[in-house]
Amino acid sequence: MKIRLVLHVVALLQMFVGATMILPVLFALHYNEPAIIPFLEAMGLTIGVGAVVFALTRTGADIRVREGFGIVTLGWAAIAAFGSLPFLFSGAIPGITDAYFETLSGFTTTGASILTEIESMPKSLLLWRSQTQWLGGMGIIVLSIAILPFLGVGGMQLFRAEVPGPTPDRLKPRISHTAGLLWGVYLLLTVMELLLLHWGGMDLYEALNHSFTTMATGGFSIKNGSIGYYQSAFVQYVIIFFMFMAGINFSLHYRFLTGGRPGVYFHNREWVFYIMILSGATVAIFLSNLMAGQQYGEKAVRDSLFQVVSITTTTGFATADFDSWSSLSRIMLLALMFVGGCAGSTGGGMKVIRLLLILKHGKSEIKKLLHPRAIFLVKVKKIKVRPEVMLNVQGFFNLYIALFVFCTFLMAALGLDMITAASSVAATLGNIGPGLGGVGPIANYSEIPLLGKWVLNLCMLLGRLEIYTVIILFMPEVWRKF
Amino acid sequence: MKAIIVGAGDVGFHLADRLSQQGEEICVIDIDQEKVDRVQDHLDVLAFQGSGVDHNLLIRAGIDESDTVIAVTDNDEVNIITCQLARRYGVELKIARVGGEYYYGENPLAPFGELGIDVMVNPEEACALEVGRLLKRAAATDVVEFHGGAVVLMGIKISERCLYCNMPLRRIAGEFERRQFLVTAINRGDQTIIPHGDDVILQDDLLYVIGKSEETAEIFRLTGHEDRRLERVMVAGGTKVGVILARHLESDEVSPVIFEADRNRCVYLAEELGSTLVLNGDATDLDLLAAEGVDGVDGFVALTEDDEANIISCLVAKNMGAGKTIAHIKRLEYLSLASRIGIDAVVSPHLSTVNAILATTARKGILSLVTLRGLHVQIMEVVIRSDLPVVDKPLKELSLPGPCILGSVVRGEEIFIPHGDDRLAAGDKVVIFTLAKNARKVSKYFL
Repeated sequence: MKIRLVLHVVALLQMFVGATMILPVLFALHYNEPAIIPFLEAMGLTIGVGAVVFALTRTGADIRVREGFGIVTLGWAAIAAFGSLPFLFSGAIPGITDAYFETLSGFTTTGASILTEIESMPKSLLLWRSQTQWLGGMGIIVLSIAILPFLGVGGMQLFRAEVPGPTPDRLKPRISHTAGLLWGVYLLLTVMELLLLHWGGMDLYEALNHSFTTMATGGFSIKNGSIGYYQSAFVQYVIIFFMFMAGINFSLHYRFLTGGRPGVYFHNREWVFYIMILSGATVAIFLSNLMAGQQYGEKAVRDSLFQVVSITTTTGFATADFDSWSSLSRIMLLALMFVGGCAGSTGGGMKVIRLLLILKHGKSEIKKLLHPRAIFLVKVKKIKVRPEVMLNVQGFFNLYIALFVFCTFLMAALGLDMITAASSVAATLGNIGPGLGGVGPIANYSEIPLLGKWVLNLCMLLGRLEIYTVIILFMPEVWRKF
Repeated sequence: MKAIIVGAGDVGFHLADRLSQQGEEICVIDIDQEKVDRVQDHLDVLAFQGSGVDHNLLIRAGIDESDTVIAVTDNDEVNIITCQLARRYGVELKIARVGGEYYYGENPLAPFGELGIDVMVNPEEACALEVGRLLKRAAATDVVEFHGGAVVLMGIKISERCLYCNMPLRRIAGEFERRQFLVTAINRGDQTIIPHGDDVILQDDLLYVIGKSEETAEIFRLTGHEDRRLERVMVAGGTKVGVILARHLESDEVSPVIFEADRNRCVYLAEELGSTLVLNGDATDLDLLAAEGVDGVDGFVALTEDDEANIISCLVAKNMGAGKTIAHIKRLEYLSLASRIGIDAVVSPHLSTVNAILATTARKGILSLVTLRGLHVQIMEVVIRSDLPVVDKPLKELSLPGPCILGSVVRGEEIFIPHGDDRLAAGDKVVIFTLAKNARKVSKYFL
């Protein structure tokens, strides 16, 4: 790996993220908050350090595959480090570990928070917290590929390393064009949600924050009670709808917006399976809650639906304390944490398409036992899934489960109870946010031991960048000088 | 411009690379998944796996909005049908790689237009022509002709006999009253330089010099080479390229000697060719080479299908005293290597085809585009529009985007190599040299 080149591009990304701090700075100015000074310091330091490193590492080298992995992983790590400066400088989050956790949780759209009292935070800092999620949702690198056409061919290596899913769609021949269209769709949906939420009674600031974190499937709220604070059914349905949209492959949205037929959704097997999972889980959880004695009514349906969509799309908003639900409901929610959104969405988790492929492959293996000499192919919509893709998906599945088990051991070793240990790992690896037990929707991550927070930091990064991109940096040969 | 390239072999791959670097939107189609993956991994283009005659796939690749289709698979008929389909979808420019001899000749199957093809490129023909150009200019490693041959660009290796080693270009230029040539690029090791007046020429540099064709001998003299007249040429390998080359040489009144290891092929060659001497034997056979007098030939061209054998036989011939050696090399990785180990020039069927095609895909205003092997230089021929800010200003005062050199100017009947005090006029045809990475900016500037 050519470290110089990696640092050069990382520095550029960092300057870019530093520049986006202008939005919270403007809000700080508007609300006349003292947080403006630490914000300007953080912004200056981020851009300044970026500019110096950028200038010192000029190189003519091209981005190859291994540099691509390095840039994406180190880029995310560095951006989270510099993104945490406003929290540190303003004293809102004193410890480095906590500040880093909160910021990385933002950029990876996890939404796990160590803040116990959110509402008393300066508004500009809360906006920055929401904004980190929005930037991380569609991807900082995808955004910079769209805006800064400097990367050329190398951009594609980065694009693939950041966009979730086994084989990213390309809408246009040029990667920068594709990235721009995806961000355009993302922006459009965010604005639509902003307007609807504002219409539903939120003020513009609240609507902006929640639109940022919904579309990114992030889940940071600016209220202690998350979306449960807003009792309006309209607001909650709007958020359910946009969480649902954010969990869909954005290239489908693009095709719908340009082609105009709803068929593009219905003909997509992943989308159909996604709907099936969501509706099945909602019904099951609703019934299970009824049996456990919950009152029947629209509110009960809405709560089940909200929680299911929120967890499956890996957003992590809450309108009810699902940790107090029946055991079956909780286990189902824990299982949904592994599903995640569709490929090419802003959601985390393992992705619906991978699950679909694993199931189909399982089925064909069983059929093979019956007809040992038959040839079975895994097909999606009559198109054969290439064996390399299938192997990649299975490898991903194995790694995901292995990491989950390993990190759960680590968390348990640090003294957490079983439910908390397992759900904290599942919720960070899947970029969901709240888990069960000690990290449930009304609790938060502040009680996790220091070392545990770093384990979860790694989980968030692994989850957002889909394991391979990060884990490859642990191979010594990647770090060879050439 | 939006273009679809069918066939992602070496030619398709390089075309996609070049065109996408120039800022075109490219879709590539190939039947072989591995090739599709290679394109997806290395280029900023969209690639599909499938057949180029599958019209559903062509629609998915956006043939409705494309203005160029380039069919460069190994199969002539696929290429032709692809172009016919493209005509149905109203594609403006349809280019096919067609190698079959029966499509050409005195009695071609049909004029190109009738087949739906605007440009047919014959890879063997393109390659043979390039060998011919190289043979004509003994000391040149590359030859590109502009303005119908009135201006040539040549790659020349600086030998120790060059009078101007270690001298900056500004001083060299000062020694001439009205020089009619210009150094447009220097290739030093892996580096390519678009030179300024202060750049120095070193021994073993590969200089790219543009000049009027009548100045060729003078340019060679100045760089420490002598220009030999082409009298005897040996060709190793009676391949298709060999046959075409031999015919061209025959019509130039040079009688070539062809070595061909396969006896039956020899019979065919003897039948096809006129004054050419056909020998049944291997061109790495030292005794045979010596017996046929390799030490006195002006040119030795190795054209077999085997890259390694071509390199070896060129080295052998060179050692035995042959004049200029030219190797036909398919693997692009070998191209820059071959010239470093002492082979005078190399031709690649793929690059010849790429260049032949690039010359025709040029957009309005740009007349032709050429890329040189191993060099990160883009050469384009443009027509100066009257509303450009460069018109009527002395060249030395122009602020052009990035390093570039104006190589030659055609104004009406007059052709000249421009100096700092010259001014461009509207309608001039100018050859511009620039680094490949700046090509997009430069072409935007002039269009």
